[in-house]
Amino acid sequence: MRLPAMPDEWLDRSRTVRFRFEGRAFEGVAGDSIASALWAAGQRTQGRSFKYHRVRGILSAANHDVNVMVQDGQKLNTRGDVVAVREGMDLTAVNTFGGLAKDRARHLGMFARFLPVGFYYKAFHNKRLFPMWERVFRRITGLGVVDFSTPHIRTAKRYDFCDVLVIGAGPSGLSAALSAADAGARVVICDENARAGGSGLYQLGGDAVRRQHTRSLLDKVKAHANIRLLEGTYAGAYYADQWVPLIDADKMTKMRAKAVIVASGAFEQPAVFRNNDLPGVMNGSAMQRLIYRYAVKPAGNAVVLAANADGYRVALDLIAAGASVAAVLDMRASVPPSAQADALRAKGVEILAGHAVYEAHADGKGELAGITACRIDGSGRVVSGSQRRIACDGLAMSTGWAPAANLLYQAGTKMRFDELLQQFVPDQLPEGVFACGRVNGVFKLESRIADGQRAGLAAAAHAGHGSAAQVDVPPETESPSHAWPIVAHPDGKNFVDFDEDLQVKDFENAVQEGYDNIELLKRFSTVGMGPSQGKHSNMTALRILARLTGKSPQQVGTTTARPFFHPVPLSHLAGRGFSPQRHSPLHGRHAALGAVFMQAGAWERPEYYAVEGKSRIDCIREEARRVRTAVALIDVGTLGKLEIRGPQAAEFLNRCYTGRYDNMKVGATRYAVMCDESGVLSDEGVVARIAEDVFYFTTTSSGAATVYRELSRLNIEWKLDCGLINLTGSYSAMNLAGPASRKVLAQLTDMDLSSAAFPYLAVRSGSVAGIPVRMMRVGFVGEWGYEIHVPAEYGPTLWDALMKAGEGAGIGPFGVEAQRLLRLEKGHLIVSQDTDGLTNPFEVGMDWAVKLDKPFFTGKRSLQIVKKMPLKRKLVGFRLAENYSGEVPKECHLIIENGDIAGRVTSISWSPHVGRYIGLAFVLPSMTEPGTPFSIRITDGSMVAAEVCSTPFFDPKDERQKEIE
Amino acid sequence: MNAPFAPTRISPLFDEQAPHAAKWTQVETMQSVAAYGSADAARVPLAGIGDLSFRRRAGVKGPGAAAWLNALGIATPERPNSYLRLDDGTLVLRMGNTEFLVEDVAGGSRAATMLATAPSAGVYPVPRYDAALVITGRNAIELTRQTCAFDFASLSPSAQALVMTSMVGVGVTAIALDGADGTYFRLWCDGTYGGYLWATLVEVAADLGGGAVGLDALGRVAQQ
Repeated sequence: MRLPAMPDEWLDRSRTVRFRFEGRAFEGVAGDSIASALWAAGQRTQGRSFKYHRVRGILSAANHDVNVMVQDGQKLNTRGDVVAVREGMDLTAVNTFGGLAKDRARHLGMFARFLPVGFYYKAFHNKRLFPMWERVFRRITGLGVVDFSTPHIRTAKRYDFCDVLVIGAGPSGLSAALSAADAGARVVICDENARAGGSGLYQLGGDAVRRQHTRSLLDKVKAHANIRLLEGTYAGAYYADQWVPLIDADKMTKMRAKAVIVASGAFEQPAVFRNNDLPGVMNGSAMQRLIYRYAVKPAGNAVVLAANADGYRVALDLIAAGASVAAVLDMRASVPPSAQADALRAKGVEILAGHAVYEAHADGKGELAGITACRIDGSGRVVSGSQRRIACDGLAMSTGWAPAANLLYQAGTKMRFDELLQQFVPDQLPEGVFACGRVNGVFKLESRIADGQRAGLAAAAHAGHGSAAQVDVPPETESPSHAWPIVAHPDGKNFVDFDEDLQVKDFENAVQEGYDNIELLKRFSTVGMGPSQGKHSNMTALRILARLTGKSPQQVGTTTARPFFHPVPLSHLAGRGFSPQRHSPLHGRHAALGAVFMQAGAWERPEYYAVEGKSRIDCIREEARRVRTAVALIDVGTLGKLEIRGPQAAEFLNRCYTGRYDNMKVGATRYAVMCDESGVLSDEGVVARIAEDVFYFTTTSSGAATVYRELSRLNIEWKLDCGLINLTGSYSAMNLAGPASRKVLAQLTDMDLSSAAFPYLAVRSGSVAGIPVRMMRVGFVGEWGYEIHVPAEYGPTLWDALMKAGEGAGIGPFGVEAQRLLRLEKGHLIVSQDTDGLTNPFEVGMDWAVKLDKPFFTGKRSLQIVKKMPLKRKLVGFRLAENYSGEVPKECHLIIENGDIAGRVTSISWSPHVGRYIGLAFVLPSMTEPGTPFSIRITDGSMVAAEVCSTPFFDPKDERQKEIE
Repeated sequence: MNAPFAPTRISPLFDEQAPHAAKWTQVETMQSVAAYGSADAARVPLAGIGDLSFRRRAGVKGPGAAAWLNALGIATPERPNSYLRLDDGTLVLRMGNTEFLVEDVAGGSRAATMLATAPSAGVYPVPRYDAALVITGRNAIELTRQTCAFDFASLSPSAQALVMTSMVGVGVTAIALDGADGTYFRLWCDGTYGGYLWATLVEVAADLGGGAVGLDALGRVAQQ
């Protein structure tokens, strides 16, 4: 039933909202939650429970009613208790088979005795039945139906910054925000609710004046220049150094604050008695939210189960809303004197101290029709014969609270159990984290406001604004929570966890089976593992465990609170994805030439250049043929490119690489091998001596960043007189290779390209096409060629010039795959393909590159030891039979000798120029002699015959590097 | 043999820009986008992303770097992670105790002077062919908040602070400058990551009413 306008209601009464629920048409008012609109329309049954499919209604109206989750088109598990109803919504309850009213699983409760706690774990004990149970559980569990055609929703994922972040905009949070802002801090205050104000605007006790405190604070907050108020935004987690993700309807904001105030309040806890889940039984605060936020009358005739002052305010609020209150059952032995109790008595409401609800009764629809009250003794036991039935259509439970301390736990707060309050409160807060209000154990309205002032000033001071001040916060005089809000019943159905349908006896059985530790109990019983994550059940479970094991709540402790505090849409977590791609300066040229790109670390490199009508492999072989017979150009700009300058540059390289560089002539290049401390080959490249004190050197593409970082570290450690510069991104590099390369290059430069002036393995500086270049005559692909390095901004221009100059010679580009083939023909290894994390230089035939007579180089001591030991394997060349036509072995296929693993293939390819499949492989040292036959086991288990052969496979005498004109 | 044509400088962002460019210009021998279209001018005050890679720049590091620069008449910032804007508009960025980046305005010659001068002891020239970007407009801060964990609002032009941070996963050097139309930000990154940074910033800027802007619309921001 809809009430007259409430002063702070969230409704826009000028707009009616029409929607459908379970196939029926409903009307609500703009601002209604789905649940409030349904309740106002008399629809009290709004969902089914997870396990027994019992009918359920509103419990908290605070974003924790997991039995009132609905499917909203492609959006599943929409929280009906808080999500605003929209025009045209077509909603269904998520956990039914055949609809809410005629759910085929509604009789599952009758089989409850066959579904004891932990039954699914036990079901899986039988391996034979495992598949059956798996199918059953998969069919009957899961909430909502995923529509796989749901579009990808891109949300912004943003960062934000403030001095003080206040989490919770209730009275204490608002007060804290104002104090901090007045001290000069930049404050952000967020609240998960659609509107700020918290309980200050709905826990009124029928006294509208009470709301003025909060209204006044809220008005000041909204007007304060230093404060940003974020409504409909919840703090999802707490990470180190005051880093808090804030979640709103559209996005996630990663808030970095200098100080965080947790003013998140407390979750009202349901009392536990038989049938405490009937629609119509709800937390007292839920009724107050319905009244004051949505102007909905929760019940016509209510009973209030109380154990604190809040229960009395609920009763007065119900009366103010026009409901009658049949009785207030106070679980405490006596009722403390209060104006609220006096007011209720004056209105003729019966107040029964030392009473509880024994059980609730359902009508024909399964909804609340009455309760049986009973007397309880000091231990919470039912006094025999004291039962008394009271008709009602609403039961408000106000028996206690649990602090919303999830973020405090995540921040590392040490909590202690306060016996007076019957609540965990912060004992030691981490630096920069503050707490106030109910989460801090402060419940009276005036005290919460004072506690907020205290926390606000302290947080601002921590952020460098003002100074902390003493603020008196009066201590609580009565407990807001009952120590044992539980009433036993021989027929059970007294639910502790509404997510998982866990009853009191489930805990008793679990403890009896030995799960008597809070973490074990959680996992075995699944308490707190449902969508509400124990916000309504963990504290009660803890009390039960404490009583069953004879411990105090402090001794039992709490379970770990992990992010996120509340479910976050995956679209929010994913946000806009950032995956940095690295493109060579020539990328656009490759794309224009039809390059098919491959990912190589962060780089996109041309794997090959597609030609219409040709297969991938034909394209690659044509590119290789062009290199061998004419001229071709490859982008090698991804190589790491470093420069070392200074009087001790040569000494630096001597220490970093296994070879010797102090005796290099200016204008020469030398192959370079780098090892780590254990002598493992870690990188390789070419060192060019540009001047006496300047060396330019390359690294592998994949090793560039690592090598630069490590060499920078060593340069700092060794304190040599030299400086290291990373030119990887600053220089473009390309390799012009092939018999016609010199002829092509000669068209663009005045440099002397004769073999005498520019011999193999020399480096020269000059100008090509008017562009300053460094050129090295190196032969990775085994042809006469020039590796040309230029400033990145001239790379495309030089590429264009070379391609144009080479037109007459049949020039074309070649990609990574062709280069791999060509280098394999030359027997050149690729670090990390033909080596692994244990390969030393001696295993790959690089003894010549290791100068153990040097005083020092990284890995020397290890290699000295390794050299004295027999080799365990060796990299060799191999080939398959000349006319082999079967399935071709792949890289990493094993070499088998006498039934044992004798090695593995590291590279293999068909060589058009050799006319066979050729490859490199690690084999046992006893198998290295050319001509040694061996077998490769391929994927289907069959063996392929191969034989060891010498390398290079192609041009073994390097004739291609010799003068030919 | 003679070079068949004079070398043209190509911006590291060229590949990303070319499909969208409406008008080209050449500045400092670099082919640059003058305009992307009629929306450029409206984007500048919201969230404009411009390419200033055409500016000549040079770097230097080493214990003798500051003295060497001073000897060339280039004043250097007193403290690391700060910058100076010289009277002629040249930017001098101090990225560490001994590392500097000097960027000319159009027509400037300090970078060329550095490149032409032999380094003295303890001076190591650092060639710089960065992607150089500018972010303008009142939504610039929001743009940075959606792309970077650093608070760009704390980069006050008056403090002349410099920050090296990660934006969309790319390492950038950033400063804030005062312009006639308010504060704008300059970014430098490794040119090989420039295309990704550019494309991503333009995409996010579009959500904020902005996008790529050519040199014509940048006006004084491009020239200063």
